[in-house]
Amino acid sequence: MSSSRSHSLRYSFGVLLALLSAGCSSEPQNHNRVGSGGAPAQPGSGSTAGAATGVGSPDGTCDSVTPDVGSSVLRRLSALEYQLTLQDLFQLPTPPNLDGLPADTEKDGFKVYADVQTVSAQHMRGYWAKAQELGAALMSDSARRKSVIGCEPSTSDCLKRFVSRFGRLAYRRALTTEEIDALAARAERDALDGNDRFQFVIEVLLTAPDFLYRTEVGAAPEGVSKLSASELAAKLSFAIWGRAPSAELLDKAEQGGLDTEQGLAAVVDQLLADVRAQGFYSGFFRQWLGYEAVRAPTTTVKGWNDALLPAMQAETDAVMKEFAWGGLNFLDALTANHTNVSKELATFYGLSAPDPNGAVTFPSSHVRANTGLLTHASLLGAKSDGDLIALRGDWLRETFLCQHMQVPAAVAEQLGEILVGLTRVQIVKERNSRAECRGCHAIIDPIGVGLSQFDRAGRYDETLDISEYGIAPALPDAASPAFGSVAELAAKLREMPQVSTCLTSRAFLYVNGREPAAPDRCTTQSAEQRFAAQSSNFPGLLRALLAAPSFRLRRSE
Amino acid sequence: MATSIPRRTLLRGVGACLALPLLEIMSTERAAAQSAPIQRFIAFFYPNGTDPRKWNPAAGALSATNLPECLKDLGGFAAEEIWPAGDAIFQDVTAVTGIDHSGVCVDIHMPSMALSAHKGTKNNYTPAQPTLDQYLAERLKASTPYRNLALAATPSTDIGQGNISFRADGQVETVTRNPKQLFDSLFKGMSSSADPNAEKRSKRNASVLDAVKEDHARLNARLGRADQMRIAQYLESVSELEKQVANPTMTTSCSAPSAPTTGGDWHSKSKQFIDLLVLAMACDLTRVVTLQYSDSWGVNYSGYTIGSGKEALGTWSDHFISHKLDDTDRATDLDGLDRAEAQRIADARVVATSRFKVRRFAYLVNALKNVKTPTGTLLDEALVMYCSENGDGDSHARKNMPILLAGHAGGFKTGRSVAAASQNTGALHASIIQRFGFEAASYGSPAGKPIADL
Repeated sequence: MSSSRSHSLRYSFGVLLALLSAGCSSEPQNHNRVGSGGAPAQPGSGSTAGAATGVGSPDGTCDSVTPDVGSSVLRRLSALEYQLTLQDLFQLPTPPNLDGLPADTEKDGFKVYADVQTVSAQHMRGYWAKAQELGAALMSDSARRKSVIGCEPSTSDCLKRFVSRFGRLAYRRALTTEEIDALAARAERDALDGNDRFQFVIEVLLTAPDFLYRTEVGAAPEGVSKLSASELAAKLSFAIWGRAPSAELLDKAEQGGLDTEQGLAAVVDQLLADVRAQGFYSGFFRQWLGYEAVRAPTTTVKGWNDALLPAMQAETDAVMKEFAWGGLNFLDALTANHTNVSKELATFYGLSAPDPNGAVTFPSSHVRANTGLLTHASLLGAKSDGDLIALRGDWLRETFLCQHMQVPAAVAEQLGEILVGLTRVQIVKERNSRAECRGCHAIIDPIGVGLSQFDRAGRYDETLDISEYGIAPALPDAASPAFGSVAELAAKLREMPQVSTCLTSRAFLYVNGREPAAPDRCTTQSAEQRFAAQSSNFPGLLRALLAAPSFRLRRSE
Repeated sequence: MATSIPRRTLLRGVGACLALPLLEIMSTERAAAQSAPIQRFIAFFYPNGTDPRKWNPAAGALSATNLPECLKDLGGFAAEEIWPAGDAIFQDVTAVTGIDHSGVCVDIHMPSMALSAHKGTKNNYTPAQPTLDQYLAERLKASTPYRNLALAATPSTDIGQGNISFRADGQVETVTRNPKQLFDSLFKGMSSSADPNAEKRSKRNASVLDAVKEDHARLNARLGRADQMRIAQYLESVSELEKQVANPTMTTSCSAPSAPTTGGDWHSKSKQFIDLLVLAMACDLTRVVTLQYSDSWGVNYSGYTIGSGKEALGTWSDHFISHKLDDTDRATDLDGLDRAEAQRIADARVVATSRFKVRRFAYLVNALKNVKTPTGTLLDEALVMYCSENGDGDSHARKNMPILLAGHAGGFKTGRSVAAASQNTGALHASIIQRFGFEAASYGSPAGKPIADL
């Protein structure tokens, strides 16, 4: 399978990583970019999740400082947020399709980076077409029209009432009288007929920047300021459900229901308890773990059929759902001794048939016993084009430790010359002996070797000989690095505090559309501490991020 | 949008459809005399480089008898699967050999940097400066409805793998990945019959856009500088859309081709994109297009019979074939063969894939050449660049990039090979930019000066 995620280590034998004399280097940001220069970091030091250069109080503590927040740009509604919001606005049983709309751009597997999402003419064309389509369908469905519009279209004040009511939900704020009057007058003047007045209004509201951008601006155009009540309601709703706030939530916010710490926490709990939160965060797991990107193999794989792809994703979805929302310790997903698979996927894995609910518990002798997520085909198979040793070692570091490896420019330019004529095994040995390469490869390849007996489709192949590389499987960061099985690797990883730090950073990214920056240090640090204090409960982590004092703030430049 | 939205178009394509042979009978009708020659730029990207030893022609004139192995099909080729036979085009092509891309792109397999001449990236993967197509689109300032089109047959939306066109500041250009969607944008709604409500509908739609611009102004007043810059893009996009939906001001209009099928593999999508982009050019809907045939990993040759015996390409991906022997990503069916024999076969396979790539480029060039204009053909107005992310696909070296330039925009001379050893991508782009009439004494970072004789 090939992944669409792109970074340096995807690439074949051209994988020679940097080192500085002190070892592998990293950039001074929470999302460590190892190997590309910048301030040196000790490999495995766990300098992640905004802990690099935090501000806060002079002594570095976070207890009594004024809450701070990193700067952000206006977020365009993601394709998913757009889709879910339309479902609510038009009271549809299922989300409308996104035909005609460009897909969101991915970076490092995430589709949520706000700064790379654009509004092009093609987007505008798609938004407009969708508004036309949904508006026309609404007007021809009398029952739904009555419910969505809320009045009889032919009555004298219905248009203005609709602009006010629908506009508030679309813009996530009350429209001013001037806005209502102007839009209604324009529709009366320029629409083709009576019904078209409503379609006209829908088209304007659903292509306007107040709808397409999450206008969580705050009280001041620049610097740090506090979000308004309705902006906070919108931010919460998008962060937990991936959709615009309901009329009820807007009501509550406008009545002061989110003004207090307790009020905000209560609403966060209420939203997290709803099944819509689980739906929205399944996207987080797919993007964080990379299995959204799993694709059909680019080589012939015995026993393969394309129906296995969704089955693989469904396996990981099911396990993540269990450990995230089932009241369990979330980190135990790393060492789980069971999974949930379809009959076809069980056959592909060579497992006995699952029980009627799909559950399979591994016998202690099985290669997947106590390996949790690490042996899911959806994860292993999503990183299959390229040198599996480097890829998988890098993937584990990037995904669970938030360390990003990158081939330094000076080394990349020499790759062609360095590698000419070397065999696969020679190249692995070469990069672990050359001074400019071994610093990073020494912390990647021992992990990758330990995972390399799983083939490109994610199945265990005991015939693959890993001894020829001369590298013993190890997690170099662990107190006792060597491991003799993937279960031992999983157990060592499970115990590393950096995993929680990294998870916090990634959840912050999903919530905020950006990576945590220095001013966010206290927010992430506090959330991580609460996560640990609550037996690594996943909703607890979200609660800590969302109910933090900084969640009410916005910094603009 | 509703199918009744009127289109600004310039050409009547009688009976035009997506099949290229029918395009050959089309003739353009320019609506107004052009004050300057029309110029067009197309970038055709195919991943995984080539084998430069078997691609690079010696400097001098190209002829049917001196084409290197990989470029042999510039001399014409037979039909295969969905692709028709092609006429010889070597006389319309100039090969540029030896271009060094390594100073610009410091990573391997990075399609996002393929059209950049500037080192340094935003978001770790994307050019910090506009790519060549964007540079030209911005400066050509064509009055066409579409400033430019970015097309890709890859489903990958990864910023580094699924995109080759970037505007300023690393902003990804929105890519159309589905030919049906491109068709809908360009041609859906075109009708030969007049819409009796056209004027009223046009006024209505203009009013919708006016209303959202008012909302933009209200929002803008509340924002700081950074946010204002961000939503300035919104306003720009509304302006582009207004051009696309404006009333036709010309006396003629295009006939819509039949809609393409949905789905399909890399090849069928790319062919549909080529057919549609040629129609878009013929209708003068745009002047600048990029087409990404695949990301680095995906494309393979399933469904084609290329090579025989052990040399057959089978179902191996282009990426795996490009790596020949030894690499983890290799066609493992050569494992265990005598080393020399395995090398011979691996080399032959790369020649075969390279020839396939050239045939697809040639299909595009032939298609442009088959559309007549008042002064010649579309190819006379265009420069069409073949490019890749790597030079030597096996080693990932980016010092010997496979560059072909077809067409005659700005009087470009073809039918030759220009040696540009040790000259960089900046030099190549400077040469192209000059050909479009813009001054570029040097261009890029590291900077390059226009290549002599190019």
